[in-house]
Amino acid sequence: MLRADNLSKIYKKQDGKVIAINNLSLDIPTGDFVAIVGPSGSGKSSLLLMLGGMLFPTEGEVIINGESIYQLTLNEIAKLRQQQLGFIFQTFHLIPYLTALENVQMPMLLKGLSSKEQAENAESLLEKVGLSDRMDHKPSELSVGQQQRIALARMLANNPSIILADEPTGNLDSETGQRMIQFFFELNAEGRTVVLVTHDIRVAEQAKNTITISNGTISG
Amino acid sequence: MRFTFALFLIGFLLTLSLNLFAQTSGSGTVSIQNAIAEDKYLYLFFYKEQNDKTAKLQAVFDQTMQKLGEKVKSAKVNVKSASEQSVVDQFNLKRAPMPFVLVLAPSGAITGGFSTFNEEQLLNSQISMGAAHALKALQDHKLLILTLQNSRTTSNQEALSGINEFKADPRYSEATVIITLDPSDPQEQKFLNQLNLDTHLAQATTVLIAPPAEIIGKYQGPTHKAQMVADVQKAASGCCPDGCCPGGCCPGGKCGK
Amino acid sequence: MNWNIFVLRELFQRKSKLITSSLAIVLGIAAIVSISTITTYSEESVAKELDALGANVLILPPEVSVADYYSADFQNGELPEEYVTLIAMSNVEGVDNMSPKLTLPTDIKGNRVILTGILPKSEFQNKTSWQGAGIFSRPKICGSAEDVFKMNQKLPQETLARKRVITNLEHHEVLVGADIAKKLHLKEGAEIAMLDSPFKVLAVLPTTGTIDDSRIFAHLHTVQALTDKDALLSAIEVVGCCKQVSKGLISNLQSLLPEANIVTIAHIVDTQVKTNALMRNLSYLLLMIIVIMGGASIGNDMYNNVYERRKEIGILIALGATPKIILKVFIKKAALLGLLGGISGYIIGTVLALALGPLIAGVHVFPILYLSIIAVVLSICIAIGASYFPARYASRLEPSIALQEN
Repeated sequence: MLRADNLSKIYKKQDGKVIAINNLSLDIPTGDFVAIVGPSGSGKSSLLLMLGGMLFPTEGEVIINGESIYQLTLNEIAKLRQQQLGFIFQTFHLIPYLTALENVQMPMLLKGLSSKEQAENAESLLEKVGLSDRMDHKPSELSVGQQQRIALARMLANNPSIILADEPTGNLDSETGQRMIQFFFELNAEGRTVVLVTHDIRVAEQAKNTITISNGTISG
Repeated sequence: MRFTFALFLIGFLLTLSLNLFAQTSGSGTVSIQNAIAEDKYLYLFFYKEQNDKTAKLQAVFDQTMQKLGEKVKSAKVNVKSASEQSVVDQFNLKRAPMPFVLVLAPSGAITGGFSTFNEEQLLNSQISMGAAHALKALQDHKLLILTLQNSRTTSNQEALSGINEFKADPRYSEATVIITLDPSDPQEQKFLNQLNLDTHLAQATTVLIAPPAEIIGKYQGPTHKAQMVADVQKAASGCCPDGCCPGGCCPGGKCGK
Repeated sequence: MNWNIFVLRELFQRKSKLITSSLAIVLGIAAIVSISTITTYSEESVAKELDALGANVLILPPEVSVADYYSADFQNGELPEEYVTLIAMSNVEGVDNMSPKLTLPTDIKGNRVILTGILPKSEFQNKTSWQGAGIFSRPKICGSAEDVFKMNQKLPQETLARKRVITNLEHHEVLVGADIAKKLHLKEGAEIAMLDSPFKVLAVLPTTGTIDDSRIFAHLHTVQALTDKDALLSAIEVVGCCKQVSKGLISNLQSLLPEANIVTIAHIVDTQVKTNALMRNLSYLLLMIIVIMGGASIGNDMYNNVYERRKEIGILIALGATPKIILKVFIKKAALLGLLGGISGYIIGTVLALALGPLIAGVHVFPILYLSIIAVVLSICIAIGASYFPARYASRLEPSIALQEN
């Protein structure tokens, strides 16, 4: 279960402060598929990062399976991300000098798996996303859709129970984007919790629940 | 008239031939021959040019020669003169500092060589006959076997046996000189002291000396050819690359390295 | 996949960047390695020269210094040959092995060669006995007894190589140093023309590792005659067997030859020690410059690298990387950069030393393996030291900021 209690994030600037999230609370049950929607600059990406332990809140707590994650040490948070969380971003953030296979192996390397286990698992994941014939290619040698599938495979490498996706279809054409959403549904059907940030209403409509963010708070 | 003319002619021819002789063999060479013939020491003053140094040393030389009188022969040799080149070359003095004095003993040995000197040094260049003959042998690059014995020393024959055997060996005979001295001869005391030899000997003593003047073997009483050969061989091996020779040959017996 | 492969992949993704990042340190290490290599062999060469010279005294013209004598092939400045007679006839101990020389350059078949006129011992040996009977009371000196029966005849090339003296040499015979013989394809018995005069090669000298390897030795008087340097010398080496000899030798020789420059082993060593100290100080100064400049260059490149890779750092954090892992990645990169820089610097420095050693110091130079270890360790330390703060900065990056598009 993923919960946010009175979450706020305030950025201090030279000419004042910017309130990205303002006293926001939400509760996402296990196995839910939630779409977070809102206009650009509404704070939805900041919310996602806070839910994933990637951005310290100014106030409030984020609780994952009963544990307040920002009370943990940096190493414990990192371990949490390794074991329970999976991220996927709009611009994929693949490591450009590693091959597709090596990119997928990275989370397993961080977890401490042996090279043999890493390779076996990564090959299996790439096969699952239909890219077993592109294992030795670098990201620059692949299409946008293929890059996103590698990012997906990488995200699944540590078998996360919670998937956090920030505009995963933002750089994809509608057909490829739809295929990507289909993947998320399949992952959700496996029992994983999916939290997906999007500005695309058509994507949001396909989620089980929708949260609308506006000016740092939940609206509607 | 004819008689006078003949006398004049003979005189002229004689003078001419003497001059010619003087020119072809300079005064140096002539003096050496004369000194050897008369069994006298010869003092040769070599010079290149007349300058203050030459004049000063020549004065000392002349004064000393005057003191010595007829007991010695002397000559002055101009090294630049063509007629003197043979004597200059004989003593390899072409590149020696000038003026230079050489003292020759009747034996032919050079008993003194000076670029600077005083009267005392010139006088002290006259040495004993034994020393002069010894020097001559060594200056001729011969091995000198000096045997010291008289009627009072024992093992005289035994001392000579190894020596004679050594000398008889055709490998060594030509380059070996044997000199026998009476250790009690007062004339030779100084020479024997210089060799660090006891002049009051009970047994005949033999000393092996290699050029320039290195004592390489000393034997009391009987001598053995094998021992002498071994000592000559050891001396001939010279310095080892590490600076020391077997038996410690540096002054004081310690090797430098 | 492991962290070493990860770091290597990143390092080699842009080879030109790799080269420019490590350039300062590579060049600095190369400079230190080449100076150290040349200095080491120069010191060894001088030590060998000194060993070969034995317990020695050098008699030089007043205007020639020890540094001149050792650093140049030949020097201007001359001594009168009559000094040889003066020394030979003196009662100074240990002068039996005297080596008067005249050294000057000449040309053989278009090659510049250093010709040394050397006076054989036989030409002045007799004069040592001109002291008269006093010669019998001189202390026994090692190696001075003549080999009357030729029992232990050494070849002239052996005596020259080992003892720097020669007993006999004919007026138109030469001995040729090993390197020159190789260069001019000269063997024993060969005929050569020097100074418009024919000579025959008596022997080729064995390699000594000293300056003699590049010289041709001829009879002193022949060289003097052919070069209009009648009765002149460049130097006289008094080659003693034992070091004790040289102690008494100096003051006696100085009294005998007040106008000459008489140099002892101590002087020679002093000069060389000072020269070497200068070289060492220079290399320490260079080291400091490398540390500062090389370190600054690497530090700057590393900060740039952290900035360029901020999204990558962000994603690694998102994937579960701890700050320690991020730090480790950058430190590993620095270490690898240092390793590559050290090895490259060592190789370049050694090649430079091999090429320049003979030209600058006149010595043959060979690679010194232990310098490779020093080069690598130094390079790694500088790289890690310079990269620590950038690496620490990377490990403390806020992942949200790292992942921002701008």
